[in-house]
Amino acid sequence: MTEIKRVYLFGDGKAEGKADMRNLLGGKGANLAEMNLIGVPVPPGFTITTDSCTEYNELGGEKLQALLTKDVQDAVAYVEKLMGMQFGSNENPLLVSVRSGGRASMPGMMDTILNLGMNDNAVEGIIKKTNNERFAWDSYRRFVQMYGDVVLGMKPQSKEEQDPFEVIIDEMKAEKGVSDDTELSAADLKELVARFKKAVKDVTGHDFPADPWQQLWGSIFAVFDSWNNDRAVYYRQLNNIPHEWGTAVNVQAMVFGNMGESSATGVCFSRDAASGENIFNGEYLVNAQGEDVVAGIRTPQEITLEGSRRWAKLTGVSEAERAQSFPSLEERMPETYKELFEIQRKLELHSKDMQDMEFTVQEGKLWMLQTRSGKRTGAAMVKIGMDMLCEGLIDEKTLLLRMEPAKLDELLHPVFSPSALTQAKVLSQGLPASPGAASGQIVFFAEDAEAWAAKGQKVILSRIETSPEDLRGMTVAQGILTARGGMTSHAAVVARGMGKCCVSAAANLVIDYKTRTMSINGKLFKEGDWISLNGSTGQVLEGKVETQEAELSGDFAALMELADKYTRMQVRTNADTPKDATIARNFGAKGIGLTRTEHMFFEGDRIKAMREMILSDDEAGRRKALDKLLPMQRSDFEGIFTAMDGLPVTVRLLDPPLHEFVPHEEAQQAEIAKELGMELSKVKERVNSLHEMNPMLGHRGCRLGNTYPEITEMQARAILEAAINVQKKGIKVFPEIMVPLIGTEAEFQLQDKIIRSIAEKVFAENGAKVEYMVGTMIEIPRATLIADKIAKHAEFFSFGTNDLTQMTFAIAETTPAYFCPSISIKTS
Amino acid sequence: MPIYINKNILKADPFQILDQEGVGQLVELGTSRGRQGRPDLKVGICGEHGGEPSSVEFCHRVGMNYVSCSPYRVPIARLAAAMAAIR
Repeated sequence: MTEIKRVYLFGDGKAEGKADMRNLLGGKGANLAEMNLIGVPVPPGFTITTDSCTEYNELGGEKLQALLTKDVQDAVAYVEKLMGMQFGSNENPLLVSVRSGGRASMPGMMDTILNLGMNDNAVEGIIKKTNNERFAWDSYRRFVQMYGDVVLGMKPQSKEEQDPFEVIIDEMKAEKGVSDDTELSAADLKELVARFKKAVKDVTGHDFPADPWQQLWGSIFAVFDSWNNDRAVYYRQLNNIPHEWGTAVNVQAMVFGNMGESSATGVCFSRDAASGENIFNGEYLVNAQGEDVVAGIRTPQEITLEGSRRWAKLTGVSEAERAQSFPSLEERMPETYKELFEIQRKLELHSKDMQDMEFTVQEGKLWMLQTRSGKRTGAAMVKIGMDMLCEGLIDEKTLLLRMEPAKLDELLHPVFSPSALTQAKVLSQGLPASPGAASGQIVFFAEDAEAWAAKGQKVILSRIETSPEDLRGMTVAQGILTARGGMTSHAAVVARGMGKCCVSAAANLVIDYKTRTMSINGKLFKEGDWISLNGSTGQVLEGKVETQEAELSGDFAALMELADKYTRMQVRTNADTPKDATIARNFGAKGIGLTRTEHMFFEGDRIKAMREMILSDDEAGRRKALDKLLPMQRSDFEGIFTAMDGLPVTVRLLDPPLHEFVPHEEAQQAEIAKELGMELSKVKERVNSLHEMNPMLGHRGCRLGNTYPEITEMQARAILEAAINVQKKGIKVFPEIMVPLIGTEAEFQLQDKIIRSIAEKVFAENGAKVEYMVGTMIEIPRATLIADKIAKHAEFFSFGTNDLTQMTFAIAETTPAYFCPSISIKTS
Repeated sequence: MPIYINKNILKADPFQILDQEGVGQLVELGTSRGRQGRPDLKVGICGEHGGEPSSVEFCHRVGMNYVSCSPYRVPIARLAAAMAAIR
């Protein structure tokens, strides 16, 4: 058996790992090694590999410990030697941090333990060495607290419960009559350590471990365990990170930012992560440990003078007060700032990407604790990429490959202003069905949405779920909220098509149409109450939350041009209206790949003619109704062809089962019976006859056109007449007629024949011709198997992968229970 | 209830991210057989997958001529198509 290397050392400008070993060492471990190699000051330490995490999960702690013991002992000895310190010494004790670090960054999802090695001996050593009793006891109490929470499992499981150690601190503060942790004396902190240890004994039944080695193993395994905690698992689902990867463990000598006024700790970015601007920025705290910066107990200060002044302006702090009480690192520690500035520049140039870094200043000496490619907004992603291209840091291909396409979404929809969002109260969490930000007054019916919107009011259409009949109400609403339905529900799909904000399946949302009220977690909302929706996160927010227009910068357009330079495949759009077609064209669509004709039948009087057609007894009756629909369809197509001048337009013939168009409630049935001069019983009978157990596998698609050829005839005529009409006006038109739901060769042949014979007629009648194609949608598995035969007749294929997925999996798209739609937030 | 996803029975919702392992085979087969019948056959996709980056990359690999997606996903698909071409 070949020896497996499980532990990689780094320190003092040398390292066994390097940047491209992130799979094995995790992002953090690989970058710590790399920083050493390029001469950035990093506290020495070692990384236990991600493969060891996998072994841990397979073999368990005991067996892994046996495999690791010698390597870890050697590694600790190496760190002791470099630092000139010893584990558990009462003279010069070594303290270490133990941190997770997966292949992909999972900020804050897994556990960290600081100040490990602290015990009654070591604390004496620290006091002797630093002459700072308060610091020593503060470090000790922090360690007991972290170890208790993380390793011994004393951290509360729910948000409502308070951390047991925080409870003890609060008691202590009350006893001493102080309000801030920093006001507690060394003696108080010493007493806290004792009380913490007692709490550990009370809860776990064991003494707090004093042996640094026991502490170390406990912590290593706790970090491995944290790979599988709920937060981490959920984060991986959300970001498509495989569960098999595992986390590495980084053990590193502690450096202290809380050793007095010449010590500090902070976080910084080589560029602005929100806007992408090339401005070094970040926050720091004097005399603090890393967790204090993020915990929000003390207000961190800006690193640069420029940033500090900007912050002061935003928060209304005068320059005098700012300089006095909130100075930047640049002012406070100018030498350290200069060094930090050089290092961040070096790290960015080396990695050729925006860096997110953590640092600590221990008594004037700067140490880098971490560097990684920084998370950023969509806007920052585009700007940083384009800037780096201009700066010559990266080439075009690198730029394009570094983009996350789904993030462009953020550039296309209005967004909540970040400050308003932090203050907003979250009422419910739903699915982020369609991104965007919307505030409006609640309405429960599409007609009300239209009526209110006509009066200039902003509305949120709140429905249990939506149907095609709600389309117009959805169009005028600011946003759509549904109690049911997944990421591919009607509301979600239509909203995305419209670029409209939608939250679906909001938790604990109960809608009562009758009383025009809804409740969320028991809180009652009436029609007209204001709520806000964050379609990007799926949150339902109370009241009106301020929004700002999404910014479309020149960089975005430039990026898109670059993309087109390298692409082979064209991008078309699905659009049913000239408005959608125009939007898509502005976004660079090179044609329409799908125009659904059925949506056109829902508008205004058309539904009546459509129902008349469906309810007719015979062909003559159907033709009469179809004659009414013809001019309406024709004018729709004219609008779309005009909008897509010069580009191809694929039009799909009628696809859904007819029962979707007819009313199912008696009142509406009576109304239509009256209009058409039919008996109500007759209408009912027709509607009932359309009922199918499984309509998606029933009378739909080309089956409609083959049983009622007059429907195909009318639609083909409408398409081709529209094409000829606009062509006469000088518009270039390339219609592609698409037959849906083909399963056999003969089905297509029949439809093809109808369309082509109508084309000949239309061309003869008009004395003009247009170029056109007839093709099919491939959505039935059988059609893929006989594709060669179908292609003999069909001039193009368009895969309808929604239906193809449905039929191949034998899962209805509307079955929500098995799926976790939230996993694809990025792609929504 | 995300039972199937949590139990790792399904890696992702196949209605959002094209199932390349299964459904993808049919798309590949349909494309290649279709071109056996007509070498210059124009092939595209018009499901919701047409705007989902990993699905767009798949469409590039099987040699489609175009993808079609909702208007607000067009820039995403353009970028994903370029990335697929570079990879």
